[in-house]
Amino acid sequence: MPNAYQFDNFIHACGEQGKAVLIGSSANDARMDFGLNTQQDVLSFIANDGLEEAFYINTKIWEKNPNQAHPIMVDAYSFYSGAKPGYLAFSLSPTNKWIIKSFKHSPNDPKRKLSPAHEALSEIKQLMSPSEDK
Amino acid sequence: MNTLCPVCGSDALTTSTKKHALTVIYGKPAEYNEVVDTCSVCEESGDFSDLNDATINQIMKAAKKESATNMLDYLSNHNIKMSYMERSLELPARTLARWKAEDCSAAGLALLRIIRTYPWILEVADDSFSQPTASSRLVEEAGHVLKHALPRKVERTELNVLHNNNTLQVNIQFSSDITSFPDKALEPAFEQMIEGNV
Repeated sequence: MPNAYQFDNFIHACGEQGKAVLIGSSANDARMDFGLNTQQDVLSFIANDGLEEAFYINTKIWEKNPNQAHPIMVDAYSFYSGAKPGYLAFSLSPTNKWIIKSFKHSPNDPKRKLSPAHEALSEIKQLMSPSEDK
Repeated sequence: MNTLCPVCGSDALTTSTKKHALTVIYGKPAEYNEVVDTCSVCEESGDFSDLNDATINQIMKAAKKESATNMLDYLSNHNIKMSYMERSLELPARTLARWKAEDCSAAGLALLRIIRTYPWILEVADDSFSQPTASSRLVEEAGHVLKHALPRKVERTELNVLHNNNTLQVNIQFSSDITSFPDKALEPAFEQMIEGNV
């Protein structure tokens, strides 16, 4: 299934007052995982190109939709902020507001398994290995 | 005007509060009561009346001010003088005293966190951020971290860093009275160090 929304429209809306909101645990996850304490912090972060290497994952139907006659789709993306991988899911509601359903750290991203600290230590270990001493 | 659910547009909302603690870097957690609106039609929840941001901003402002004081006190207790910090970082005199007594900007707070975490960065700054000093201090501090992290079975650790304009020489030595480790798990390994202590 292709993405339901234009990603740029979502990014643009996050920069406009009252056009996007966070629901469920997304505000708390953004706080705990990314240090973005307020809803405004999250929206400003997104609107100011904070989502690096955003990558479309999939689109699913919003299961809790009370009006099943009009299905609402939810787009999911992975992204990075620096070295930290994240996961984002959003939809456009019938009230014409962008709804951020998920904004959290996604540590299982296969693209970067090693943390920078571990990568650096692996390099040191390699440099100090016996074969290098000879 | 009634608050509406931004997801489905219903006004059938119930409001509750939940205690939350926000992490404050180098400070005490800041507690606040989070307002949670729950829609009885679509069952989604959130801060639909947009009340939490103002509360969070208010408590974080006070908590960050306190953390700035904590960081400056810590540095002072470790014999790092404000005048030294100001001189090495080319800050106007009394800047840090002003941050402590009055308000500390977001940029000031970020700088204090860096100095509090890596106090030796001041020595690098004091040497005009020269690359050899930056490199040697970094490696020296990395050596200290490794030294402290080495398993107790290892003794006589020694770290030497020599540098000039062209070369950087690092020598970390450690030895043990135990000639062979009875268990593979007891052998010093960098993974153990970073997981256990860094």
